[in-house]
Amino acid sequence: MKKLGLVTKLAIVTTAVVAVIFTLAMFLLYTGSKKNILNLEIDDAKTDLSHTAEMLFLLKNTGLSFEQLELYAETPWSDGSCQNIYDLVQADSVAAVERRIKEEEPDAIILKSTIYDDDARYVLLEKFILSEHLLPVHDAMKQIVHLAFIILILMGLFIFLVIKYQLRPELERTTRIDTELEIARNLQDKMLPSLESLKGELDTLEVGGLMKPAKEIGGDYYNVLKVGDELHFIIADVSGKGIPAAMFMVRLSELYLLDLTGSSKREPNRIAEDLNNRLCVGNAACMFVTAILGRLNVRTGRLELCSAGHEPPLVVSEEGEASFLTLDNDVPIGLVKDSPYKLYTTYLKGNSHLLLYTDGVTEAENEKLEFFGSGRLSQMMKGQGENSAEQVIDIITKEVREFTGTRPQNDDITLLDIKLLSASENSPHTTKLELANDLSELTKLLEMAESMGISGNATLAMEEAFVNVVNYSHADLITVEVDQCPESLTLKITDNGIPFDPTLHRREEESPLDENGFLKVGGEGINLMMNLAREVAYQRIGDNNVLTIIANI
Amino acid sequence: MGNYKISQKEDIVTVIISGHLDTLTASQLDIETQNLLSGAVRHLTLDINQLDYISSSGIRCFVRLFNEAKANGIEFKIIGIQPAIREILDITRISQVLGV
Repeated sequence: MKKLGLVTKLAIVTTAVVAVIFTLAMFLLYTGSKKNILNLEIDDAKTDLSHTAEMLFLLKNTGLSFEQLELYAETPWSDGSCQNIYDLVQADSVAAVERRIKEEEPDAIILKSTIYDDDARYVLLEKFILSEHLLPVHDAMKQIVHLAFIILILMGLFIFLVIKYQLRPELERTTRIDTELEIARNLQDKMLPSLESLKGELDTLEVGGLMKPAKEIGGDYYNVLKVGDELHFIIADVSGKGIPAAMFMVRLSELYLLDLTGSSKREPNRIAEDLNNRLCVGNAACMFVTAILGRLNVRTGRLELCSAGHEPPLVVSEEGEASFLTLDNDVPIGLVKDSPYKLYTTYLKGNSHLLLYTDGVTEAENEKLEFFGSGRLSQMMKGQGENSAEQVIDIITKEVREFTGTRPQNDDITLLDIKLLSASENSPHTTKLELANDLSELTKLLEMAESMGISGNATLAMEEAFVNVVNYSHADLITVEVDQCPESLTLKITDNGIPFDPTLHRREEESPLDENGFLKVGGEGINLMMNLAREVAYQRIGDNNVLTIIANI
Repeated sequence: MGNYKISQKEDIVTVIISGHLDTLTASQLDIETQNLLSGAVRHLTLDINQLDYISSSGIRCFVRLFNEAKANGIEFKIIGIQPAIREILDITRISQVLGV
């Protein structure tokens, strides 16, 4: 209806109003006139003209309209076979009519007469003869009814023409757009990975995915691609929705695949940087993408992630614990050229899920305009560790649908669940050590490093990190976790001390010497740690400092 | 664990450091070398041929000895640097100062 012109709208409204008036008038006309009506039927075979005067007199005395009577009398017999209504009146019926009029006191009389002429033709005459006090009202009614009827027909014609010449092309155009959107949607579906065909390639993983656009086509995207032992994946949400978002999504999709085929050895954050620099070009509309890019080693479970302003991933362990990964959020892709993207590294343990999603899930609204929320998501994911990746997707979809009820879907919903099946033989071996805040505890740490066969450099990075915590954090308890993998080592040092981010205290001075030629002291520990580790990342999680160090074996 | 052997021959002091020089052993070394450069010492040599691990505390210990030697006009030398240790010295940029 939005596409109709003002005139058409007016015409439809007027027609509706007139139709109502017409119906009302008809109703009044019949209910009003059918009260107390006297029907007179006269057969011309028995007509006796001698009673004309008597009948006339009778009808006059009833106060009926004589002119009206004459007019009707003249109308039907155009061939002149019967000139006058008085011919119709039957002699012996006059007294009976008179008696009935007196008894019944009708508001109106309907005179029906059937006249057979010489050629045995017959004419049925049916007319209303009305008492005078009803006549004006009745006439006005009739005029309204006639007028309404004419207007109805004209309006009907008008609407017919509008539909034919204005609306139909519009309808055809809409149909054509619908068809094209359908084609676009199919094309978009094809850009998403075929999880069926991926199944054959994966023996240590399960992948479940879903993209459900709010409109015909969406601006969400996910992809999963296995290159060697690495599973590359991305989940992305383009700003806005519908066609503009979908067009941007196509660019993103192409560039992502291009990046992977170009060099599969790239870390997810390097790919993010590349995508960002490419999508910043020719982006006058300032569209952007929030995304999580990742790479998972299907053998070892080593997981590398990078977040461009996207919702945090959820990890569900085999035991059913659900926790969000607190990644550093970098700028959404497409906004600021040359933005750096940080890499977050962890390990996915056997039988645990990595769930990625877009805000269409967490911001799905119910009838009370409440959000589904990330709390509800993590709550419902608790204990889902045993389910398959596909089951997890189904369960979430169902839960969101039940939550939103009759509310229409207001944003694209995308889910990607990756489940690492059994912990392979090469999966990380985790060792955990709890230490008091005392330098003497270093002995335990070094003994553990030696027993695990950890290299000198990795041990050194660990020692420096530990000493730093002892010197600066005032913690009660320091926990050191070591995940050992074939090609690398992840150290996680957690303490409940005051916030301290050693990565901000790296000192790189021009000269190691002071102006008098003496060697300067300070910062060697952090310097060594940062240099020896492949990556160092600091996070403040709750009341804890968490320092993650990844070192080469 | 770290082992030290300090020997003096005329005006030459030699400290042989072997094994691990971590935060704990370095503080031990710090104590033991506290009053090393007194009197007629003209040369200080650190022999780290058998050293296979050094932390920043160990480096600071070297730095302290270097600075003390310099203040007293004593010649400071480190000998027998293994590749793993050189890497650490390079990172902390003292190898260029020590000329090793």
